[in-house]
Formats: sequence, C-alpha cells, structure tokens
Amino acid sequence: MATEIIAGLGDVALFAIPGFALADLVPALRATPWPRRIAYGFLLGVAAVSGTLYAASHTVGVPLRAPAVWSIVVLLTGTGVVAAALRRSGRPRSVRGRHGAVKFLPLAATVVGGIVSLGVFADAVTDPVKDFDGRVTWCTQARYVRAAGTVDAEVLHNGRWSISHPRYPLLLPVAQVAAQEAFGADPEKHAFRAIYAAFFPVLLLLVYDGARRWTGRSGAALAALLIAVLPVFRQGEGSASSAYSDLPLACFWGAGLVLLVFRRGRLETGLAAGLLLGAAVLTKNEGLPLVGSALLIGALAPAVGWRRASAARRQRFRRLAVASLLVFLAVGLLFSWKSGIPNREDEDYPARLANLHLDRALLSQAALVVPAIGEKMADWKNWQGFWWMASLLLCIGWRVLRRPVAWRLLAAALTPLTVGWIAYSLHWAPAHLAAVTWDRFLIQASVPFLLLIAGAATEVSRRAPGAPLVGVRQGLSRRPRPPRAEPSNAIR
Amino acid sequence: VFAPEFRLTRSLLVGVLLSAFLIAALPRAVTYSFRRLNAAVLHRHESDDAAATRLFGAETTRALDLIREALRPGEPYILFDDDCGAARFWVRNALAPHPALLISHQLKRTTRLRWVSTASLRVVVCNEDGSPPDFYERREFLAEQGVLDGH
Repeated sequence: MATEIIAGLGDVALFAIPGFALADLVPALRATPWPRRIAYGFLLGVAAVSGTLYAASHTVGVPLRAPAVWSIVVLLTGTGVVAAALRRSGRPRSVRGRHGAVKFLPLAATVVGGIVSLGVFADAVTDPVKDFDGRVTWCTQARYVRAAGTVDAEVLHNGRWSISHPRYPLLLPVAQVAAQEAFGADPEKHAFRAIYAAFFPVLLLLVYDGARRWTGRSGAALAALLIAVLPVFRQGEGSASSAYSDLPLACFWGAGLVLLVFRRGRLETGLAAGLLLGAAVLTKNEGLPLVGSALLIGALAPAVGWRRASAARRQRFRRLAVASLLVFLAVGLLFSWKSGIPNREDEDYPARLANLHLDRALLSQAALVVPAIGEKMADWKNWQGFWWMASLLLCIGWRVLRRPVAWRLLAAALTPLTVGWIAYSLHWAPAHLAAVTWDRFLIQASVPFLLLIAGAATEVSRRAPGAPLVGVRQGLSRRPRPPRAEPSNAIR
Repeated sequence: VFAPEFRLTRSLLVGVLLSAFLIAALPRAVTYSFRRLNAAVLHRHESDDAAATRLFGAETTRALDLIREALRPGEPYILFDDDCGAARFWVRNALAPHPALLISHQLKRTTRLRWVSTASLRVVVCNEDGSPPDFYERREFLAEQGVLDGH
C-alpha cells in the first residue's frame, strides 16, 4: 500500500511539477494563490507533457519510453525555473497575501473538499480499475500504446483486431503510459489511477477560482462545496474514481473557459488557455465542439466600449488568436492521428449525420430521450436532488442573467448538453445512450454551470435587506466603483 | 423591484434550499470518504493478485492468469465469444496488450467456426455466459467442435 501511495503521488507530481513551473510563466496564474496555481499547474502539466508526447510519437516517431518522458518533464520544468530566476533577478516583486477573516463557507468547502479528495485518492490506491469504460476503453488503449511504444500501435491501425472506440483521442491514456514508463511501473499496478483521482481536487479549485473572480469567496466556496458533496463527481461511471476522460475534459475545457472569460492579461494567458483547450480536443471526441464554443464565447466581447477600449479589445483578440493557434495544432494532430485508424466497434456519427435530416431527428427522438434524461437527473443516488434545488435557485436568482457574463456561462453550460442531444438524435438506441451518458455530459458542463449557480446564489444574498456586502472584486459587487480612467474589459 | 420583505423571503428560500441539499448530501460524502479510507487501511498489505481476486472473483482471476501464461509475449489470440453480455470486453482488457481477433456471438455458428479454422492463430480463448474464460490450442478447439483445421 505504501508503495502504491508513493507511486500514485509520484505520478501526480510528474505532471504537477512541470505544470507548476509553466504556470509561473503566466502572469495571471502567477498572481493566483498557490493551491489554485497547483491545480492549473497539474492541468498544464498533463496537457504539455502528454500532448508533447502524443505529437512527438505520432509525427516523428519518438518512442513513448522513460527517456522521452523525463526529457520533456525536465525541459518544461527547467524553462519555468529559469524564467522565474531571470524575473526575480531583474526586479524584486513583493507578494502580499490578502487574507481576511476565515468565513464559514470557505472553511467548510476546504474541509469537505479535502476529506472527499482523500477518499477518492484512497480508492485509487486500493482497488484496480473497476469501471466499465475505464477498463474496456481507456486503460486497454493505454496497454496497447505502452506495449507498442507509440500512439500509432498496430492494434489500432489494423482493422483485423478487436478494439472498442479505436479512434477516441488518447491524451489521458498517453498520460497514464508516461507515468508508468517514467517510474517503470508493472502493467498490473494501478497507481496511475491517482492521476484520474487528482482531477477531483483540481475541479474543486478550478470552480472556486472561476467563481471567486465573479462572486467572491462565499459564492466560490459554495460552488466548490456543491461539487465536493455531489456523488456523481466522486463515485461511479465518469467520476474521479473511474478512469473515464469526462472529468479531465470538464477540467481542461472549464479551465480554458475560465481563463478566456475571467482573466484579463497578456499573451501568456492566451497561451495557457490554448494549451488547456488543445488538451480538451485531445481528451475526448466531444472536446472539439466544446472548445469551439469556448473560443466563440471568448470572442464575444465582454461589453467593452468600442471607442474607448480599442487597446483592451486588441489585446483580447491577440490572446484569442494565440489560443486558437494551439487549438488548431491540436485539431490537426488529432485528425492526422485518426486518419490512419479504421473505425470499428464505434458509432460513426459523421456518416449517420450525412444520412439523416438532423432537424427532424432532433425532435423525433425527444419522446424517447427526455424521459431517460429526466430519470438520470432525478436519480437520488447520483444527484441527491441537486437539479431540483439548482432549478429553483436559478429561478429565484434569475436576475443574475442580467449580466452578460452569465449568458456566456449559460451558453457554455448548454454546449455539452447540446452535443449529447445531437448524438442521441443520431443514435439507433437513443434512450439507452442517454441513460448511459447523460450524467457524463452534465459532468462536462459542471464548471460553467456551477459558476452560474454561484452567481445566482450570490445575487439573491446580496439583495437581501441588511445583507453584508459580499467580498466581491468584480461583477456582482454592491460596492460603488470609482470611475475608471482607463478602458477595461472587466467582467460584467 | 421587490419589496424588502420579498427579498428577505427569496434569500431565506435560497438558504433553506442550499441547506436542505447540503444536509442530505454531506453525510453521504463524508461517509464515502471514511469508508474508502477504511478500505485502504484494511487492504494495505494486499498484493495486486489479491486485489484483483477480491474485485473480480478467484476463478476469473486464476483463469486469466493461466491464459496470460499460455500466450507468448505479444502473441495474438482468437476471442471466441459465447456471451451475450459485456464480459468479452473485460477479458480483452485483462489480456491486453495481446491483440484479439473477436469472433462475435452474433454470427452463425458455422461462420464462426470457419473463421477460427482459417485464422492462423494458435490460441482460442472462449468466453462463455456466466463462467470464467477458458483457452485451447486451436486444433484442440476445432477437434472438440468436430471441424477440421483449415476448412
């Protein structure tokens, strides 16, 4: 057990350390408190290390072995460390903590989030992979890729061999292989499950970070607390206890979205957002439409005065262009990799789309799909009445939708659900597919949706008579703002 | 827009909603965590084999170990599937990275046996409903089925 714990922590550190160094290159992340910076760092680490290995293996045939993994880890860590050293030797910068009195909700979220994260990690180091898709798809792919030493394994390319979903993007299996190769792990060991488990605290910190910028500490803590107690995120198919790619996709896409929507900043922010969104593309097939929506939402200007804010607007579009460039590279890699793999044992949605009238199909399957979706969302075991509570809360706090950013979050939250609906409309067994996958689409939508919930709750609480001013920096503050001298793209 | 009393009611309603949800969900989350931590302590000295046995059953684990031993490194095998469920996927995962040639239960029996007889692979892994997977040399398997090898 002790060896599994150490190996699991080592696997997580393999990505968190270079990622943390990379996060230090991004001013917007550098200014973030260290727990949240580690969360972003872990995501950046998985994206950079695994993405580079994926690209290097496919394009120039670099073998997926320990020397390649360690070279990339050392290179990324070294870059971050050198950049940090150069910056510090130039101009010392004082970092002042801004700690106020600890409030109840942030404390509760920290304690509960910590306890549940420990439980998820304990599960990862105790049991082998036991969830269906984790065993059948993702970990099986990882075994084939590791044995072949390349993402273009013969088993994938030769249509004779049986394999589920051979054209699913492989970022997470490559991360798993990287961790196993880096430490020479036995194929039967399951310490790599810690990588999947790590996405749970990362999601909590990510939601906290996004909501913190919009609603303040209490709203952010509420959003994180809701995720921490929801069973669907910690146990069962698609959760952090499984080896599915849905939670990682929620994190990559959500983090990219948060950076694009909530962070002002320089090109480095665009670079980080592009890296995260590129990782989302390489994580799951749904990643592509989700990332498209994130870029579109990022492009929709947060109410900037056209005459006064041309500098801010230019900056934002430059940032978006950098992010888009990395996304295009990831898309190119994905299509190039897929092109050599014959499809079998998988739904061919593009072909079905070509043979169907989507407009009719979207409605014709509704009678089958809606009951299945309703049943999933009302399932007490996984959601514990969350959707009843969330629907009422959004109705009560509807005024949050007066803010443009709330509409952008709503649009983002609806994207995975729309993708799911389209898939059901094209499928020959839509009710079954909805019953199996709807929870996973909801997991993918979690970051923007929870931010919206936090916004609605904060909006109601700040309008209560005698309510204290919520410690809000942007967006929902009651505090009158001084007139700005410079144009801004502040969140509204 | 709203009177102060109404705003207070809204605020209280939101508080009640969130509290009710947290009261319902929080104990289960904490219990889950402690159960998992307890399991981690209980199984702290467990080997990988023992963990697999605990989760997947002794017979299945043993059967898969035997098949792994029978296969040469990287050797492909025929997965003769007689199971209507999803067990074939679990077998395929357990035997990965050995490539599997799946002979699906959906095909006619004669077609399936013809595929087996013409596939130039040595080992046939049989996956039957409700029992652990078993394996044969291809000739032995075909002889049992009353089919000549290569026909």
